[in-house]
This record gives sequence, structure tokens and C-alpha cells, in this order.
Amino acid sequence: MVIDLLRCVGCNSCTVACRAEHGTPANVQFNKIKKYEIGKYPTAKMKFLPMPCMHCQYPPCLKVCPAGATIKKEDGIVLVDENKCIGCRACIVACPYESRHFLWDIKGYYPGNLPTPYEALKHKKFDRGTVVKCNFCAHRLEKGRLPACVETCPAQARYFGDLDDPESEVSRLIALHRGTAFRPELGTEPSVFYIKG
Amino acid sequence: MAEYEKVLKTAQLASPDLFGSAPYRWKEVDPEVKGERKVLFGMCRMCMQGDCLTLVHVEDGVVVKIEGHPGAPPNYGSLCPRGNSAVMNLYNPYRVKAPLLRTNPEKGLDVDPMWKEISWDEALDIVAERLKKVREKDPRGLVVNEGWGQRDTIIRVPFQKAFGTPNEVGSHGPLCTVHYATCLVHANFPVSVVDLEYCQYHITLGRSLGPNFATTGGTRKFAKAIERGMKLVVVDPRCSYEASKGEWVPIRPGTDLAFLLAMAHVMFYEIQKYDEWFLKNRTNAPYLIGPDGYYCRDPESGKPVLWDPVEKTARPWDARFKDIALSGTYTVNGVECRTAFDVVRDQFAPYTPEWAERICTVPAATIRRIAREFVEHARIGSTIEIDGFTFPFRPASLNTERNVTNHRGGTYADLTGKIINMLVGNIEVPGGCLGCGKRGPVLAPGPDGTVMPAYEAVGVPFKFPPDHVDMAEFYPHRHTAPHLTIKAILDPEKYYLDYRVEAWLSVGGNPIRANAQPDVYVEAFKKIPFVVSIAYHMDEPTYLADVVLPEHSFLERMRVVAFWPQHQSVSNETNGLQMVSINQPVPPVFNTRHVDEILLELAERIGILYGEGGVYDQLNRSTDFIIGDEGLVLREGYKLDLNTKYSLEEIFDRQLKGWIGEGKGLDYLNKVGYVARWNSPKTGYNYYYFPEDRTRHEFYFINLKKQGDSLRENLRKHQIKFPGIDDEEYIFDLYKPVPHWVENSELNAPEEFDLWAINWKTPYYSSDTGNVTGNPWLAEIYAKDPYEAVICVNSATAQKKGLKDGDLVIVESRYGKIEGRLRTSELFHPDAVGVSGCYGRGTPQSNPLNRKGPNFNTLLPLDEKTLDGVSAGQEIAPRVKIYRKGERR
Amino acid sequence: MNLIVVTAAAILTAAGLIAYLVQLRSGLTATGLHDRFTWGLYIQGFFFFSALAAGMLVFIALVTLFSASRFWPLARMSSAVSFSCLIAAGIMLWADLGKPFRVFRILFSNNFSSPMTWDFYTLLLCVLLNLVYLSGVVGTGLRAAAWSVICLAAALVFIMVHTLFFLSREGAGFRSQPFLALDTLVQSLWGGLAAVNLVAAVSGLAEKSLLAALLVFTVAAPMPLIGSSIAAATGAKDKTHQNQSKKFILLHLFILAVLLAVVAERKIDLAGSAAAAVAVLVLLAVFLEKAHLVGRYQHNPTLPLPFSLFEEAPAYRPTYVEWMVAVGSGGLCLLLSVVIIGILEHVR
Repeated sequence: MVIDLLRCVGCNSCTVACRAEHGTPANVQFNKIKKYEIGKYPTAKMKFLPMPCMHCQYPPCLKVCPAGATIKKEDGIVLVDENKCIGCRACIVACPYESRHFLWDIKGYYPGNLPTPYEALKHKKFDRGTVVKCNFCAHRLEKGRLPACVETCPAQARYFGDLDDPESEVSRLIALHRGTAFRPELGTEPSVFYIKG
Repeated sequence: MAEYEKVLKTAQLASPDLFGSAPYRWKEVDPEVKGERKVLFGMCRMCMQGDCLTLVHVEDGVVVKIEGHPGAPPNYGSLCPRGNSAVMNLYNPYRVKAPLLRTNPEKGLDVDPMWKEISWDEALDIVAERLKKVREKDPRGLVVNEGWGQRDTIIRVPFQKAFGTPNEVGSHGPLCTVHYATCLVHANFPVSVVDLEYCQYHITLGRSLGPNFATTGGTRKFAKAIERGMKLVVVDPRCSYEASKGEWVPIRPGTDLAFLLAMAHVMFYEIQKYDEWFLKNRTNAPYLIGPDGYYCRDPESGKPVLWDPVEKTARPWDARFKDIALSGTYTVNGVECRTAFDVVRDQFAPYTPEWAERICTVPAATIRRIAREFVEHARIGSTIEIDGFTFPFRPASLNTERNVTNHRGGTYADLTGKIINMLVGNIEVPGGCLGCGKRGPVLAPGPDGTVMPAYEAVGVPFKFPPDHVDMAEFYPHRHTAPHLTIKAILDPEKYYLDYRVEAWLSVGGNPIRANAQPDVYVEAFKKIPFVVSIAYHMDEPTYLADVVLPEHSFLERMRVVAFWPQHQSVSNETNGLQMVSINQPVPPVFNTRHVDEILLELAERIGILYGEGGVYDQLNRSTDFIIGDEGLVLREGYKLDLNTKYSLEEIFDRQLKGWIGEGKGLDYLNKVGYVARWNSPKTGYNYYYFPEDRTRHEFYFINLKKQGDSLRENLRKHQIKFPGIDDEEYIFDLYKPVPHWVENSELNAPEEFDLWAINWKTPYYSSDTGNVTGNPWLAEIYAKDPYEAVICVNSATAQKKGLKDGDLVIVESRYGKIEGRLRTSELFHPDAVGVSGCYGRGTPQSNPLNRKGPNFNTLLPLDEKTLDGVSAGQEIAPRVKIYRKGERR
Repeated sequence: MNLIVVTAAAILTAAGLIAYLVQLRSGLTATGLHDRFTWGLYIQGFFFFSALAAGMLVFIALVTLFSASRFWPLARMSSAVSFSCLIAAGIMLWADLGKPFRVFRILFSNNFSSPMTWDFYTLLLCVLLNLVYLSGVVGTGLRAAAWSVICLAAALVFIMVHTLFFLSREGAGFRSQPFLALDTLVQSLWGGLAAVNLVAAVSGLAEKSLLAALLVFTVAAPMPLIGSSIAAATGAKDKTHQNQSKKFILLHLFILAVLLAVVAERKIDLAGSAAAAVAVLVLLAVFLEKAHLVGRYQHNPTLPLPFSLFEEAPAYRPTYVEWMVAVGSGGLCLLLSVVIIGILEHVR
């Protein structure tokens, strides 16, 4: 995935679309946008850093998982098998991108209320006591659709494709704009690249 | 996160079940639809624009996903955060779930109405009976209050007209009086915007191009324009999302008029490079103005005259000229006349950038540079060919909106913006400043050769005693005026009303939250004998209602509409698009009804549905407010029979058959979702319909002067004053034909109020549509956002006052005060106190999230002296002081 | 005396069990943990008990290897305590799992890049080695030497694994690498020796050499802290880390002073309460050290500034359930120790 930081306006459409796609319980957010300021008045600027899971080539979370629940598929997507996860949370401690969430509880969004029909349906696939994360919408990719955050972005700031294919749009964008990973010094080699930061 | 947890904890205290403490039990899945999967065509309504096409996925009768309709205009598959959160708008336990009747006669925002659940028949009968009585006494006694909460009704206006009341009052209007100048100069509505397809240099003041409140269309066009390298100058007290992508020019709040006057001064006196052809041939700048300020007219034809410097004679505007004088003083019929251009130019002489800097704090050098860059980028004299048609090409535009216009003198500021644009000739041409509404022959010249004022620039005719409870007779160019309405309700004598407001019908309006000084509104509501609310949730007006008629949420609502050109900007993404689309309803979750079904039922029971002048008749005669006959109207052959009952679907079907043709109606649209017709992009520029010298824009705003003079005459005739205004010159000073500097009510506030409060729309709160503040998905994000629901102050200012990030502070204006957490930031002008969105207030029975955060509007004034006398717009940058909570000042 | 201890320990164990059942029903929301502070009292307790167990194992292995028969009765009792500590550590770890009944997945998933896997294996190995030792089959000679070497290796690996849990993090300040491994090792040996001293004091087997050994490690214990503190102070923006490390260094110096006083004072009965008190003080210090270590690693957001400019990590407060489970584990540890020692004496 390539994220164009010039185009991104920090609206959080991606964050909410992700929630709508997965029906994640309250407080679980696969995608996030960090907003911060740089510079001093009057030349200050607001900056945005959208962060899905980085789907690292060398994922620290995969390394530390004692239960074999975290897997890296051949296409590079890092997944958690909720049937194998023992809930030790070593991956959360290991991940430098805050990309993982533990299901402390499956809570609905209207506290003190019963889960809405939508939540009742969506929460079925979440298992309390396991760790969940962004899966690049693998279920959509199977159907030939792009991840929800990519399709919904009003600024069209996200691009999705095959990084191994040098002819793909994402590879060309990275080459053209010298795309960089977030915190490359960690050696995790993320699959998410940022351009025009 | 901690903040959100706190919010949630408090949220648990309130119960959504209106009659007990048990949580609402959702309906079981209907066994009949078990296993059924379908995709409905949807249209989003999570903001006032509400034009994004969606797909609504339904499984087992439950909505499981709403996404943008891939490939379909105008959003092409994208959605904003609000649109993405729409599921929570449908499944919301805080919605009103059944018709309710108040049993507690005492009203108040803390007083339990003691609702009694009643049947639909009972509810409609009670309301119809009361309204019938009101109508028999005096139909003007009904106020229909519309607002952003309900934009999907086609029956509200016909209902109000059939009822016979002129009192349609929009709750949202007076904080956003952005229309007059565009209605006058462009004959368009609602505002004028930039052409992002071609613009190279865009100055934007007090407004948004889309990203600031995350509208899909605006953001898409913005991102493309930034990517192709358009230079963006954002003059704003706050470094917004947009300002962060361009040049931020911090300005003291509420002083944009000074900036604009100085910029025009630089263009008039220092740069002196104008689009002369445009001024001479497409504006009234060369019209000769007599000493009385009116056009000098040809004695025979009565037409305004221009000076031909070659023939050295004055001729009517439509004569053939060898050349036209833009400047000079000439004697015509023994009267000394000057060109309008000179009159206008003279007015700007005192407004040097140095003068402006003292007021608005923008350095004089910056003002000069921006003016110069603007003129340079406008490429005066260049042309562009689009689809075989040659347009003048002016890739520079300056646009202003609510934070510029909503002060006394705001209309002048907007008009000054028009003058700046006209000096480079960029009106209604590619790259320039375009009206964002109807595309077509709207620029048709009137008898004086200039564009006919349209929409709000037309003016409401004077009548005494006034018909309108919102004082339209005194503010003929007012946008909407709930603030004057409630004052008239509370003190009808002072406002010369010869009738009384007996009933109030809320249809999506919430002036209590969306206007100034909520307490005064509550008092007015208490005084109205009968209040009905067609309600989505238990908002403030609903909590004060006598009868509540619960309506569908937008997903449950059958809706068929024609596309309106978009508000924030223009580009080929939608240029030339004409479209109708449908929102196919999902099964209703509660015992609610479609708003239009409610209104039709009421009309029938009141006896105003059938016959001449009835709702059907009004509907037959009505046209689309923005795009006129290109909208969904009942065309010949599809008009309703005045004495036959129609379902809403049948009405939509007839509208559609007239629009689509070939006998294709609702069934067809149900199959395809939308029907788009693409005209050539050249039709997106209204210049195309009246090119070259075939029309003229007002450069010298004679219609403003005319309205002021006629108003003065009428006040004289009846020996009355503007209610609440002692010195009427205070208002008439705003009706001059050339903008000039006026001080707004806040400029000279007492010294202790040393800062200005500002407000802006956000991605999570663009307008009070679909109760976005009560949407927990959005709440989770805005609770974590550094700038949402907090009080923002420049770091240096905070330090000077001994305040720290995170302090609990009080912000106090002369009109009200609020409290909240302080956020220190470098993104704000040192004189500004920023409060985003419209948080706070709420009722005990609405989602508790509504009560969180500071309510900016509490700080605003209601006093007539603070209004812009032309648009009746309210002051939205009040002077404030800020101090730590607990410290007395 | 024993009966009172057994009853009290049993009550604590039962309370812990009840608390754990509560947690099992409501999930880990019964704890004060959240995504930004994901490891709390349980993991702190796990590290603590593991450190003691491993430290004691090192002692046992050494006295076996060097045929220091004078200490063998003490070593046997220490082994019982070490075993109990390992059980308690295991329970703490188990209590921390979101899906406790899947715990044996660790054994069979063979992810040897995961510290947790190594942890689990070495923990089981240490339990096994204790059992072997307690069963009395170790004896002397080559068999004993072999057992000792394996035991030493297992215990040291077990200790070292615990340094692998945390990536080097800027936000962890003086807790960051490179002194973490040394610290973990020293703390473990220090704690283990303190536990041995405690056992000795309680069972009347105390002697000065043991206290002297403790003294040596008390001198050693603050060294990694001082080192890491100096390392972190160089150019560090956030000075709070230094203050934090100062507190720990002061605590260690205080213990050192007390210990010196105890050792220097001839009149004090070494088997008496003073030695026991010093031992308990050291155990407390080790626990605080482990608690602080786990806490510091999560205190600051993993994302560096400015990306987390406006997000302070919310505080972590252990809930009653957590305290009860932790104290219950301690109770179980005590109960098992007393019972096993009782059985050992009975068998003899």
C-alpha cells in the first residue's frame, strides 16, 4: 500500500470505513490517523499520518507469537488466526506501530444498551481474549475488491497493489516519489509506503 | 482514549428507553428474511449536501455495510467519515421510536415531559385538530421550522404554502449568511466557488473547499488541484486542514473586511492592471452615475448611459460603441456624472495595506504580495477553448464564506471579494469564480443591462404590519432568521406583529443548539402554545414539544432527488452532470414514518391536501429551489389530479417520468439506482450562455442602494424603526452601493475581552444532520482528535496568561460562557480562541454524547446591533476572555 | 506454627482461585489492563517468581556441583521453594492469557523465535529438574554433575529469555538496552539468594556465609542500573528517567547498608528475624524492580513523538481481582513449599 501524504487531509474516512467493514467492537481500531503539528506560529502546519497495519516483511509480531497464531501469507499479508491465538499479547508489546488490539471484551457502541442488530451480527466473528488486527481486507481482495480504506478515501490518498511487481502502480509511485516506510530503522520492512511527506 | 472512556462512563447513566430503565430490546430477525442478502441503492444523508451515492448491503434484514457506489458520480465510490458511520444512524437506541404525547405541562430542558406513547392515528388527529384551529384563526400563526436535520422532504414547502403561512424559518441560516453577493452578482445560489479544474491561484477566506469538513466531492477535487500544483492561500485565524496544504495567512478573527478592502486598494492604486475588456463590456463599471448615486439615464429610453470617448457622447448601454470610457467625469444632460468605476475606485483610496495591518494583523507586505500574485496568475487576456467554445481563461479566484460574512459589514466583505474578482474578469469563466448552483441562462440581463438579482438578492416586499415573524420586511435580504423569530415571539408588540404565533412545527430544525444563546430559545418555545416535532431523536426542540411524530432515519426513507451542483468547488468530476438518483429504503427499525407521509396525512386531516391551493396543487406548481425546472418537478402530463389521493411513490414516479422520459419512472430507477446525463463541460460555465458583452455583472451595487432607499422610505411612511435599533443609520450605512469599512460589534469591545472566539466545521460535525455528535463511531474519533471538543489557544497566548495544555478553562463573551479543556497549539492566531463543531447542550433523553464538549454557540449574541443589517447574519466571532476555571475574573 | 501457615496459605490460594474464576467469567476486563498497558501485575509477578526460582536453582546447582554437602539440606528445601515459585510463575502467566485453555499450543507451535516459547520450555524444564532433584535420584558424582550443569544452563537460559521480551525502546529510558540482560541476571541471582537466606533463617539453617554471598550480590545489584542510567542520561531529553533510576539505586544502597549492619553485628542471631527481614527486603526490591521494568516499557507510547503528541498513555492500576490472583499465587507458592518440605521431612 502507498499513502500519499500530500493528498491525505486527515479526515478519518479510512478509520470509519474500516470499522464499518469489519464491525470491530468499541475501542478496537485497525486503522488510525495520527495528527500532529510541525513548526511554530505563523509557519506551523498540521500533519497527518494514516496508519493501517504495516504488514511488515519481517514482522516483530510474527516473531514473538508463541502460539503460531500470527501468520504471514505468501502475498505478504500478516494475519492472526483467532482460533489459535492464546491471548498472551506479546505481539502487542512487540509491535512498534500500535497496530494490534486485544479483545478485552466485545463491547457494543451504545453503552448500557444491548448490542444493535448490526453489532450482534458482526461481533459473532470476534472472540474475546484474542488479538485482532488489520488484514488488508483479505476477504475483499479475494473478491477482487480493494481494501475498504482505499476505496472510501475521498482524497484518493491510498493506492494498493503488488509491491513485488515493479510495473505495478504502487511500485512506480514508490520509485517516482522515493517512498519511505515509517521508522525504517527498525528493520521491519513495512509493506506500507508513504510518499510526498 | 481515556477521554472517550470517560464519555462512555457517563453515557451509561442515561437510559435510551423513554419509559423505564431497561435497555431497548431490538426486534428479532424476521424469519422470512433470514438468509436473504441484498444490495440496495442508497444516497447518503449524513451532511447537508447529501448527494453521495452508496450501496447498502443488507443481510438477514440487517444493514451490514454502507459503502460508496463504485464508479458513480459524484463521489465515485468514496465516502466521508460521517457517511461511513451511517449504520449507527439507523441502529440508534436514542431515536424516537413511537408517537409521543406530553403529559407534563411544564416545559424546560431539565423538565421531564412525561411522555405518553400514543398511536399514529391519535397523534395525527391531535396535531391536525390543533393546526386546523390555528389556521382558522390566522394561518400565519404557524411557524414551520426546517433545518439540516431533515433535507429530504418534498412536501414541507407545499404544506406550508397550502396552510397559508409565510413563516418558514430555517434554524441553520443566520450563522451562515453567505448568499447575498452571489445572488446579486452571479444570480446564483447558494454561493460562488472556485473552478478547481483550472484554477492556479486560489485565495480562500472563512470557508472550506471540502477537506475541512470532509465532503467527498470537495476533498476529491481539492486533492487533485493540490497535486497538480495549484497555489492555495488560506486567510484564516486557524491553520486548518486546507491551510496546512497551502500558504497559511493568519488573520485576526472578524477582520476580513479590512484585508479585502486593502487588497482591492492595492489592485486599484498600486497594480492598476485590470481586465479592462471585462470591466467595460461585462460589468456596470462604465455606467455613468449621477450625483444622487443612481444611474444617469437616457431621457428618451430611460436606459442607463455609458460614455463613448471616441464619439464623445453618452449612449444607452445597448447602443453600439466605438469605445467605452471606464474612467472620467462627463456632463450628460447638464448633470455631471462619473463612471461607476471611478466612484468605486475612489471609495477604496483610504484602505492602504498599512491601514489594514493595524486592524487585521496581516502584514502590509503580505497583502501586497498576495494581490500581486493574484493578478499575475489571472492571466488577463488569455483564452481557453473547451469543446469548441472559446472562453476567457482566468485561473485565479478569491472566495469568501461564513467566517467573512457573519459580522456587521459581512455583506460588504463578500461584495468586496466580488470587486476583486471582477477586476481580473474571472466571473463565471474557466479557472475563476463561479456560482455553484444552476447551470444555464441565469445571467440574462434585465432592463438596465445587468444580471437580474436572484434568490435572496431579490428582496422581500415591504408590508406593514409585517407578515413575516422573522422580520423579513425589515431585513429583506435575510437568509433565514430564527433569531428574530424568537424575539418576535417573546415580544410581539416590539416587532409590530398583529398576530401571534400559536403553533410551531419542527421539521429537522434545531435552533436551540444551532443558534445563539440557547436559553432565550427555550423561553420562546415555552411561550408557544403548541409545538409539534417531526423527530429523528430527542433533540432540544423535540424535548420541548407537545406532540412528537417520529420519522424514519435517512436509510429508511424513500428518497428520489435530482443532483445539485456541489457547494465547495467545481471541476470536471461533476461539470455538466445532470442526474437523478434514489435511496431505496431499508426496513424500518421502529414505529416511525416517512416525513412526507406524515405531512401528507396531516394535510389530509387538516383539509389542505386536495383542491386548488392545496398541497397537491402547490406541488404541481413548485419548482426546484436551486436548479429550477431541471430538477424533479411535476412536468406537463404528469401533474397530479387535485382530488385523487397519491402515495409518495406515485408522486416520485410522476416526477421521474417527466425527468427521464420514455415512460421510465420509479420502477426503472429502482433497477438502475441512478440516471446520469453528461453535458459538455463547457455548459458548466454560465458565461457560455451569455458570452462576450451579452450581459453585465454589477460592479457598482446599485440594487443594494435601491433596497436601502426603499426601506428608508417605507420606514418613514409608517413612522417606524427597525425593532431593537435606535439609530437606523447604523443599518442604512450597510446599504451603500460601494463597500466601505464598517466596524463590527466586536471590534471595540471592553479591553478585558481581549480575544476573539472562532468556530469551524469538522469532519465529524459539518452540520446537525443525522445527529452526528451522538454517533458513537464518530465520537470515538473526535474524542481522540487533538482539536475536537476542546478549547484551542495559541501556545504563546496561553503562556502569557499562565495557562497550560489540559487546563480546565472558562471562555466568556459578553453574551455567554462555556467551559472546556484547553489545547495549546501553534495552529492558531494569537488573538483567537478556537472551538470546533457544535458540541454540548443536548437533552436528558438524547444520546449523552450530545452533552459533551463546549457549545460554541452559547458565546454568540442575539442583539440586532450585532447583526449584519443586510443579511441579518449573526456575529460569529465574539470577543471573549479566557481564564482557568475557579479563578474569578 | 506450620498449621497456621498452611491454613493462611490455603485461604489465600482459595481467594486467588475465586478471583481467577471471576476473571474467567468476565474476561481480562476484570483487570486494569488495556491496549496501551497490556502487561501488568500478572507479568510482573511472573517475572518475579521466575527470577526467584531460577536464582535458587543456580544456588542448588552450584552446591550440588561443588559437593558442598553442608548446604544440601538447605538446597533440598530451596528446591521445594523453587518448584513452588515456578508453579506460581506459571499460574501468573496463565492468568494473563486471554485464552488460557489454549496454553499448550505454545508447546506445539514450535516458534523458536518467540521468547515466550523459550520461556515456556525452560520453565517446564526447570520444574522437571526440580522434581528430579526432589525425588533424590541426583545423588552424587557424575550424575550430580550432569544434573547440575543442565540445571545451571536451564536456569540461566530461563533468566536470559526474560530480557528478550522487550524491543529496545527509546521511551523506556534507562530501562532500555544494553544493561537489561545484566540487570535481569543480577536481580535473579540476588533474589534467589535472598530466598535461600529466607528459607535458611526460617528453618534454622542460617549461616554467615550465606549472608555474605547476599552481600556480594547486593553490591552487584545496582551496577547495571547505574550503568544504564548513565547510558540513558547521555543526551536524553526526558530527565524523569534519571530520577526514576535514582530511586532504585537509593533503594539498593539502603538494603546494602542494612545488610552490612546485620553482617557486622555479632550479637544478632543469624537465624533470627533480622536475617529474614533483610531477605524479605531484597525480595521486595526484586519485585519492585520487575514491576518497574514491565511498567517502564509500556509507559510511553510505542510511537515516538510527535506522532503521539496528544495521546498520553492512560494509567494502569491493578484491580482487586489482579491483586487477589497475585496474592493467591503467592499463597499457593507458600502452601506448596510448606507441604513439600513437610513431605520431604516425613520421607526422611
